[in-house]
Amino acid sequence: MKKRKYTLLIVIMLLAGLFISALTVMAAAQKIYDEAELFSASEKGSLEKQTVSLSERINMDVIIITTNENDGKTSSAYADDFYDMNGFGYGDEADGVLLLINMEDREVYISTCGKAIHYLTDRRIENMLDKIYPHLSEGNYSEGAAAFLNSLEYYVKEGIPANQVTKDESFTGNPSDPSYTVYRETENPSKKALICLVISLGIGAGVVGVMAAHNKGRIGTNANTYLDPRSFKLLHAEDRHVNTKITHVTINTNSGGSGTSSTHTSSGGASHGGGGRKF
Amino acid sequence: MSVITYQCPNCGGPLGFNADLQSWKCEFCLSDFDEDAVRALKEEQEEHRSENAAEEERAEFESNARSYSCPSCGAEIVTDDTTAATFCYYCHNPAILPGNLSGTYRPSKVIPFTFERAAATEAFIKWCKKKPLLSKDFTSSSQLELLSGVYIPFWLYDCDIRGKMSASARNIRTWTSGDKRYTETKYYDVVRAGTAKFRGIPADGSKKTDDRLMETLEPYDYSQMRDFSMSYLSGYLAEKYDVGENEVYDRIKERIQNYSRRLLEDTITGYSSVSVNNCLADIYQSRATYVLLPTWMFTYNYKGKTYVFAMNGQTGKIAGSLPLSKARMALWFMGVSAVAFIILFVVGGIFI
Repeated sequence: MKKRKYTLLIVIMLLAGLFISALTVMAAAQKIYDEAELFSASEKGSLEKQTVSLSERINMDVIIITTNENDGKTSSAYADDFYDMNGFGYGDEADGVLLLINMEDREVYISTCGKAIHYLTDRRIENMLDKIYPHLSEGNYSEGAAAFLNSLEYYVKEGIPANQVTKDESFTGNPSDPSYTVYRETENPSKKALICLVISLGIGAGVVGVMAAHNKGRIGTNANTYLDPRSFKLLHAEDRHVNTKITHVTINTNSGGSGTSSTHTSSGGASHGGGGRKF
Repeated sequence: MSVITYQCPNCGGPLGFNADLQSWKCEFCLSDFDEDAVRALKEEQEEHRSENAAEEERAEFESNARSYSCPSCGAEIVTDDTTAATFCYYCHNPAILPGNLSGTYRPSKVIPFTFERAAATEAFIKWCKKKPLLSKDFTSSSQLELLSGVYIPFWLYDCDIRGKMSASARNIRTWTSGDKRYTETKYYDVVRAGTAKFRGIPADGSKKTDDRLMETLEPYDYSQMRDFSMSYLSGYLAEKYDVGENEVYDRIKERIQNYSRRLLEDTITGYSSVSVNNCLADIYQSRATYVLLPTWMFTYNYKGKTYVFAMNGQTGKIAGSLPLSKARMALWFMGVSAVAFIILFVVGGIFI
């Protein structure tokens, strides 16, 4: 009895320890880097909360940074490097999105990495910038950031466009070039394994079911077994056409530009997508 | 009432039909007799029998549980009232009860056995070995309780039918023009009517046998059918019918219904899909023939349960439920699933 109590105590302590360490990890995962001090303390707190919860929901890192100095870099390079240096992003592909508000160049830039490249095609990034930049022009930086988060969530929920292709800037025009990849959903292996498992269990059950049915012996006769050959006479055959229905669907032919995600390679060697606009 | 045992004219020993030789053989003096010889023998015996005909008729009314005396040893042979051929329990000589094979109970045709007792057992064990879900110890540890060659009474129905079917059919065609994909569905009302003749649809006329089991034994090869002679029954068991030709008619009708539906449906071709609205088959002429068909009945005792199998005594086709081994089922299930999983995961990775 006493032993059991100790075990329970140890388990509780372990759980508590895990919980605390999880909390500290979450606290350490800062999402907002407001170097240009564009947000008030309350705005920053609320944005921090929103980005953390959005990151969890879409399973991609969401980062918002502001800066007064571009260190001589373009917005694109600055955003990509900041993302790479800080090791943002989830998973092996460093899935995530970064919003840069660059006050030196008065430019807003969205950088995508990993899975986010597929979600945020060039056209979608343009649409997002359309939503964000009016707020920035008016100096409502936090609203601009909120518009970014809203439109990001909207597009992730929409899913990856069916015709999405990824085109690296080094793309030469040859579709077999490795810098040109047509998106194919790479399911995580456990999900794929689960689907395979369900199908194979179904096949197994089906095969055993058929075997069990055959165990009894099958009826080996059919209509022709006892039919006097040549006795079957068709006396009357009528095929009357009564109705015709024609339906049509429009095929989506402009599969070109809308699904393209242009990517480039950052100084750190990582592949990023993105786009920016002056405000 | 008398009992017939065919006796060898050479030595007086009992004659039994031999399925391998397709003739009658005396097991004592090893003489062989063909059909004509045995018929002559029968006539001789019938003459003898008519002497006590009056006595027979009186006995026929006595009871359902009938008793006969064995002509070889004089012991009483007790059977139920549907038995037409059996063995004497004491001297094991074949005994035929002609009272159950005469008048309306006289079969017009018979198909003789082609599988001997040993061949039947061998075929059965071979069949068991091919069943993957059967415990390996079934044939070794189980006990063959009963193996008997039985002539089962069957009604063979010849039916001339008229059938009519109405159905809805559709044809679907798709094509692309410009940026539109068109789907055209054409609907048709289809009517088919025809006549057909079915010959020899069997229905067993014995309450004792399971209808479904008997249906699984089909088909019998009617080309080997012979005119009935009691001599074929010698050495086997035989039953007389206790389900009349009118009582099996519903079963025949149901089969006719299915067959005509299939025949007519097969004439509706050239459509993407067909759905039958209704189908009627009318039997305008039918005739039933009473025949005896050979079956081997196996009764196995396995782990305290009794399993019954039937084998077509002419073709060797076997029917019956084997015990399913749960362990082997689980093994197969896991094996097949595992192989399917590997194939899907490795090869199918391209598709999923």
